Amino acid sequence: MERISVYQLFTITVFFQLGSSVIFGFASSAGRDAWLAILISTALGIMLILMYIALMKMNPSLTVVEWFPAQLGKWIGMPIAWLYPLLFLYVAGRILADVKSIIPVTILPQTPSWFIVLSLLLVVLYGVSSGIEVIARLTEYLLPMVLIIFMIEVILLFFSDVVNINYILPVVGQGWGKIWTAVWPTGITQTFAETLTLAMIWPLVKETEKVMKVTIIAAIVSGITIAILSLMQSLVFGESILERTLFPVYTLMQQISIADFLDNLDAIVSLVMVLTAFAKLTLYFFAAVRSMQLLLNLSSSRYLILPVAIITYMLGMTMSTNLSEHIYVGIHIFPLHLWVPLLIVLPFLLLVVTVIRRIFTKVSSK
Amino acid sequence: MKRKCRLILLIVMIPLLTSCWGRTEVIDIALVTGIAIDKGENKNILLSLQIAVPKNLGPQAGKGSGGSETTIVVSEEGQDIMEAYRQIQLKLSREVFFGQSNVLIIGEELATEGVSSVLDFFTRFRQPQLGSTILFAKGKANDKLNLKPQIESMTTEEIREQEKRGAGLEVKVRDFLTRMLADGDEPFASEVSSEPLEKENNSSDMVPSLNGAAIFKGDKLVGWMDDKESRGLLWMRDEFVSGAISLTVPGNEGGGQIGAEILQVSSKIKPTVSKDNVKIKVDSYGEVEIFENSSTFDLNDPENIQKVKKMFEDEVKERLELTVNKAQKELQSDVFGIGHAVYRSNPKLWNDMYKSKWAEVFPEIEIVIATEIKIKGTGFTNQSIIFSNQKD
Amino acid sequence: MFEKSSDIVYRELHIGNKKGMLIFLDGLVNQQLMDSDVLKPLLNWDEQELNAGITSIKQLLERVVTTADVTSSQKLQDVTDHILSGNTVLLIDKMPDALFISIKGWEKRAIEQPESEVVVRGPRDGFTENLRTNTSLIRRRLKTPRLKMEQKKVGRLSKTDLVITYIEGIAEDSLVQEIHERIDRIDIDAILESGYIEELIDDNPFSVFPLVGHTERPDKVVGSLLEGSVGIIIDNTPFCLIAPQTFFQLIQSPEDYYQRYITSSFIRMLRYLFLIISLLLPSLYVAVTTFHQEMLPTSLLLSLAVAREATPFPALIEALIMEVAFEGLREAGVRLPRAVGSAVSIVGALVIGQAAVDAGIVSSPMVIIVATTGIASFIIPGYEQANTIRILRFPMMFLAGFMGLYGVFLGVITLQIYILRLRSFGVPYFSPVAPLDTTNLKDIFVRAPWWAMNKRPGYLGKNKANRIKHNSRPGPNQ
Repeated sequence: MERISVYQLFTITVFFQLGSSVIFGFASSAGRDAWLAILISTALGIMLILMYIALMKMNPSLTVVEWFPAQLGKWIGMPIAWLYPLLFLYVAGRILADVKSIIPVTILPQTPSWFIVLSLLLVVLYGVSSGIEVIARLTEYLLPMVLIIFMIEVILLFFSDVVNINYILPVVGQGWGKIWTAVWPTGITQTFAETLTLAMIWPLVKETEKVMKVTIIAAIVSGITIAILSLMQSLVFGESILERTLFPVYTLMQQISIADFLDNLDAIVSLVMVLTAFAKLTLYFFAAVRSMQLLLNLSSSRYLILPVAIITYMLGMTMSTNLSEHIYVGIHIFPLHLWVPLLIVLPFLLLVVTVIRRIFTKVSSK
Repeated sequence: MKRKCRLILLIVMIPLLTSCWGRTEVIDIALVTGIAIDKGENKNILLSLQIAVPKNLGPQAGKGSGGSETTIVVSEEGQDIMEAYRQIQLKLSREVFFGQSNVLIIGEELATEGVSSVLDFFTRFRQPQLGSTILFAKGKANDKLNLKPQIESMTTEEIREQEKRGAGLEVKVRDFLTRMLADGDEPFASEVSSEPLEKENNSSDMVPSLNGAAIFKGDKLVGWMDDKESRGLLWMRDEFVSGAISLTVPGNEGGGQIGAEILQVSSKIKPTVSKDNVKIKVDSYGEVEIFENSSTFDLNDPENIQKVKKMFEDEVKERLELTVNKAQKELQSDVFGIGHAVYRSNPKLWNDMYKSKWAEVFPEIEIVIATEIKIKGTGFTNQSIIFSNQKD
Repeated sequence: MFEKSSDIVYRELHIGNKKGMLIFLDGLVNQQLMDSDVLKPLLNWDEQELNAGITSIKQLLERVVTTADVTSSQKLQDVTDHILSGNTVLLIDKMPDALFISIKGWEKRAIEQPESEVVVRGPRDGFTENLRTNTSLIRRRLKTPRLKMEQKKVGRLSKTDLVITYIEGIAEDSLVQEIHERIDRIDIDAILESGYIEELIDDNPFSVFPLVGHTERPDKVVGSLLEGSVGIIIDNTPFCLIAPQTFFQLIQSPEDYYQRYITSSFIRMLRYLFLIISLLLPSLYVAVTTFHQEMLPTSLLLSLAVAREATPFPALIEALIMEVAFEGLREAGVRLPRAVGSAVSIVGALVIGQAAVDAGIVSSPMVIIVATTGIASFIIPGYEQANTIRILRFPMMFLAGFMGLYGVFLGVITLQIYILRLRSFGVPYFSPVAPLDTTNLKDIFVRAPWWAMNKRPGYLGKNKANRIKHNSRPGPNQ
């Protein structure tokens, strides 16, 4: 059995949470208060994570897809559990579609998208077939690199003379209502509620009792990272451009310009974005393969990898016809209709059932 | 293991089997160094591109080959920028590449009609950068690109270098857009004009010069400010970089001129907002160092310094008032971002009361300017021969 | 048995009243010792103790032959083995035992400075082709009985001696066991060089990276032994194998540990920079100039455009031509006789430098790129690893030429995954960075001072973790 260390869980979690939030920005509908919306989402997201971890503790050494059959019985539990591999597949497809949308507009304008997606998917395939240990080790040192790159870029922005403090004032100028629309449901579900996917690898962690601490620290780290990036976006663009850009972080880094030399670092930024997307995609891919393996009771995941790859590829290529549709679905439809029921409602019901069952078994054992 | 090796091979081989999409060699691109957009005939847009000619730029430039121009200007009309750009592409052997274009000049006529449609292209198109400088020209914009470079190798580089030195207002497309779209703020940008190199020589070469400002209301050009007023604009906006100020000492004080270099300025817009009234107080502060003194004042005397200080304060106040008057009364454009200051100070009242009718309110509000100048030094003249017999 | 072997010598002699015969291989025996320590005593003995007569060969062993290493056996197989490995065999009429006198001595190279790993500060002695010389070089540095040297013979025909050396209590027993097993599995006709063994005990036979280290420097071997590695010294080669090997050893040079640590740390970081340059610079150049021109500052792009104006080839082809030309030149420089070698380098410098640019075949920026890459690859201390990086440069260039930075990115990620999958004798190849072991990072990106590196690398084994007394930071006495 492959095992991952606590630190590796940390890096995986942060990578996972940064994931596509770095590409499409986060809570930009809150305007100049987006950073505030992110911090609130982080706080609420941590509550959700606590719920997931409580579930994990009550179902020791079981993954998310095994919780349902374990608590609800085979006949109710199995169909519900099968929803999750489907969700993982769908999200993996979405991330591919993200990449499909960002690469042509940023660094490779004329390369056909099937080729971009396919080549990335091949690398993901290679990663997943190498096992979770290799993936975990990869994130282990790539994460510090990504964070350092972001840090350097934020510093460079300050030196590029593009920061204007007036752009973020006044704080909460439009009232809390506008912030709340960014927090719910997109803010909480995107990034933080998605952490439920990692429940697929929690049982593989060497010291299970530290999962809670590490996951929460990771959520705080990624929340702060995204908040800082978002704050920078507001500081540089002001509300009006920010609300109009599709790839805020990318456009943000385009503004770096120091002494005519450090100019146009955007290609590097888009690679960092692809890197986070790659990490998230690999993890979703792994989650999809492993959950199916567990549900089908297969001894090896070898035969699942290729079908899953083909399905993901088809999903990614056909998901949305253009970028604005893709983003619209990502912000307005997807969180409310898929994530809220699957990542909040169902786990909550499961938690209620589990607690009740516990009380009953205690009573009856007395 | 063998399987995995094959996978690696596959990944390496795939690109070989495919053609090379999107590959453009450096020698296949026409490097755009500056863009000028004018109004063409029949509502068309006239797009002019300044393109670098590498063969004339190198160390062997000009040897033998006939034309030694480092840049050429290509222009074409079209219903929109994209069409004009496609038309230009038809005339060139190399692919037009906007990625390095740093200067965007827009002509007066087009600016008066509104620039948002033009600027929209710059936010959408992949290559042009939001960080490029935006400038406006009285009359046609494209002749600015045609000016012959004198010191640098390209006109646009000369413009950029001037700006880096602190001439002009340093407005990037990004800032322009932000101000255009933000509540309670209006955009402005430097004006670029052609000036002769030598003042009294009519046959002298013309060079681009950044002086004055184009003032907008929404996306439409409403008027121009001269050099003096545009400095005042920067001072008001707390974005002043560097400059000089000189004042004429009135006759009853002995006459003469005092010139000073401005070291540092800051100004704060302090709104007082109530339901039916907006009052603005502008506190501006500056530090100067005197460099020229042809008056009778002995600047070692603290009393005289106080007098000169007062004179400077009045002078600055006058200048700022000039600018404010021009913007507020004449052009009716809130280029100082006063509306935004109001918003910052009282978001609720702004949203409820003033946001919708700021255009009407702004020309009427009362703006009071208070100035304070600190004289940091009097240059080296302290030790000059004239005052050497007096005690230090 | 030894017919058609011109180098075998049969020397008949009388020892007292018995007939005897010395058999040895000419050239493998020290003639002087043969005369003074074997022949002379044997022949003189006859006169001194003529009356007694010899009853057993043991007497000769104990009394007559004045050489230190003398053994005896009755087996015919032993006789041939000993003759072939350079011992002198003494047979005496009507006696069953054969006496093996070790007065080996053949022409051998003196201890010289290792050519492949030159240092400015540090010991100058390098291994030679002689196994015993090599073991002595190691033994002289570690005067402890815990230094073990287990001897083995490998190769059906060559019967090459090799010595597995490690420090008992520091190297993991399981590691030593594993190496023994892997070497025992080897069944090949001959071992001519350490490379044979290296390939035959590899964890991953298809690996691009070397998973077993090798060195010519005894100090490096000892350093590795002290960290818990195992050395394999092989006869007839000046290269000693070290296992396990990790990725980061390619930027560690023995000199790092002799210089001041600040200098060493700086040089290490320089090496990382040049490692990246060596791997990626040509591909980055190709990617940026053909896909991402907007990344360059305007003036630089213009200079590039000016320089490339006259060149006929696309950047990728140009880079490939130049890199291949450079690699060819490098290889020629290594193989050619020294006298010709310098001529090659002069011609090469002219051809791929000035002349090519003047002729308009390549652009001068490309020459700069290739030259920098070339220098960069020589900065990596591990010769074999540098070669690996050199090879990997080419697929990267292809990826860059077809997919720009995205291709380079995919290539680097694939390479990362590949490296992470590798293990050398059970140790993950990318240790201690992944899996992360923070206490061991002191010797990876920088070289911490000795008094701060108080733990041995944990990923090589956990035995005797402390190598220096805690709190041994030096300073004036209080």
